[in-house]
Amino acid sequence: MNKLVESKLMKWLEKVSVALSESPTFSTIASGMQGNLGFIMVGAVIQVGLAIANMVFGLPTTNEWYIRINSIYNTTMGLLSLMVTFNIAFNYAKRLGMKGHNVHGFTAIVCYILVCAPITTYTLADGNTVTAINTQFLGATGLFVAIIIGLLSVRISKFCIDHHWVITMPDSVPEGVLNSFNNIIPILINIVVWYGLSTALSVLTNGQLTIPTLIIFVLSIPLNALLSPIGMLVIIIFGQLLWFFGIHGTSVVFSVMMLPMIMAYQTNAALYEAGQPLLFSYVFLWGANAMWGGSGNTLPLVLMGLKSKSKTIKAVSKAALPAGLFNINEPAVFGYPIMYNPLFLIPYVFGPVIVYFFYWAAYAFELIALPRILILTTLPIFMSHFSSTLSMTNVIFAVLMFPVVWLTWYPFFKMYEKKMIAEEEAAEAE
Amino acid sequence: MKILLVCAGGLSSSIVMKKVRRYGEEIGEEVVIDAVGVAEVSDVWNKYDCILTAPQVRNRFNQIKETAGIPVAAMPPQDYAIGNAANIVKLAKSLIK
Repeated sequence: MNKLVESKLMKWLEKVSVALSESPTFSTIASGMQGNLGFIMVGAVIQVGLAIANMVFGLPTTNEWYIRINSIYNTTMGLLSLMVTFNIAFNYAKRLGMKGHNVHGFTAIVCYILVCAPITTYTLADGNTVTAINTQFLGATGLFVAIIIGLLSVRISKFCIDHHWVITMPDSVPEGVLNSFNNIIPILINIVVWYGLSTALSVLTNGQLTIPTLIIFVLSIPLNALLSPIGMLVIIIFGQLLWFFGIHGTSVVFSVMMLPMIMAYQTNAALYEAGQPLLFSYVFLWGANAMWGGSGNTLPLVLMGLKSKSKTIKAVSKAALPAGLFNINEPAVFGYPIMYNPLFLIPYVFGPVIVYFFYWAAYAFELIALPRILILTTLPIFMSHFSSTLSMTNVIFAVLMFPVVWLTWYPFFKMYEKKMIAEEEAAEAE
Repeated sequence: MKILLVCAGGLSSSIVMKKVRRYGEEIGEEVVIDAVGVAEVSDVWNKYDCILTAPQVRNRFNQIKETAGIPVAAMPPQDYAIGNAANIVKLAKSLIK
């Protein structure tokens, strides 16, 4: 077992996670998405408020005021891709050390709207005309497109600047004026590339394909592989293995999983609004690894340790309990320690797999409610089970899972406790 | 002494932060300490004397070191887990002098 921990697999995993988190592209995507957390949370607050008004006070979803307040949610979530486009381009330009991050953010937004939601004038049935943009791809649906345009538009601008494709001015021109001229050519080239591609695609396929539909179609192939029973198992095990090696596995995995997660939640929020049944997505099974006390379901272990005869275990468990109740697992992982501890490899990495199958069954037999309210932050236990569905059955399910998680830890805890007591006694005898 | 703690999102390090603050009051030394997530380091590091990173962001250690122009060290996992303030302050002092 010790050999496994020091094996090539471990070194490879560590390398992969370092490469992922140090790559400018990946960290830009992560920070670009994080910049929108505030808006997502505001949307969630509105959803919870409306759900309470609907369930407790019987306010119908067709009520004028319901619709008015709901339009706040439709705006914060409905413009998500636009905000992501800006954030990603802004952060990427910053990361690549380019001047004027704002300009690159806005360039990306202009390209995004040109490609995904061109301003069009429509003639209405009564003969009047209206100029509008189609919001179809401005919400979570367009997230992948937002990331691609956000990143590539900055790359295009950088290419222009690196090749000095800029309007040059005499030295006497003030710096501020110069900067605004500097951006003209990169912006123009971006527009030519994106709008040109979009128009060409539209003309060639008789309007059947657009850039967003093409990107979404191509990416749906690997995504569907990921969002499958096996894909999610691999994701859970990979995240847990990283944690086992003491690396924040959740944050590494999350930079990829955040997108399908947001999309699945927004789909369900829209279905709920329309009074239709919600859809299941395998991405919802990701919660199986953090039902009790953060990643790896460490809370039962902490509770077991509170009355342990081993002084070390007792001290660590006491220190880890308050954090564990808030679903923060670091004190348990580093204190017990679970990381690099061969005894805990099995319950820590594969315990969540058992929960995963129960979780899947509960969804499959419709025993628990499907989630629709996206709260992307760590919440205390119970709150975390309740908040995404506002359904008590999900809390009851989590409570029923507690003994299961407890049992996955118990034999390993006993072995470790025995070992620790023996070591402590030996140390005292010396 | 101004210490910046860094973890993934600023959650678990804020637990350690509180313990170090209390310890600072106990020993009567002025210890300014804050906790942030990795993403925020580049914006705030210049207000501090040193950075201590949590074990779980080991994969971002090099990046943090490159970003910040102040001494950076990783906290030992055991000290981090139970919030051993005395050892953490000692580590910070060894960086600054």
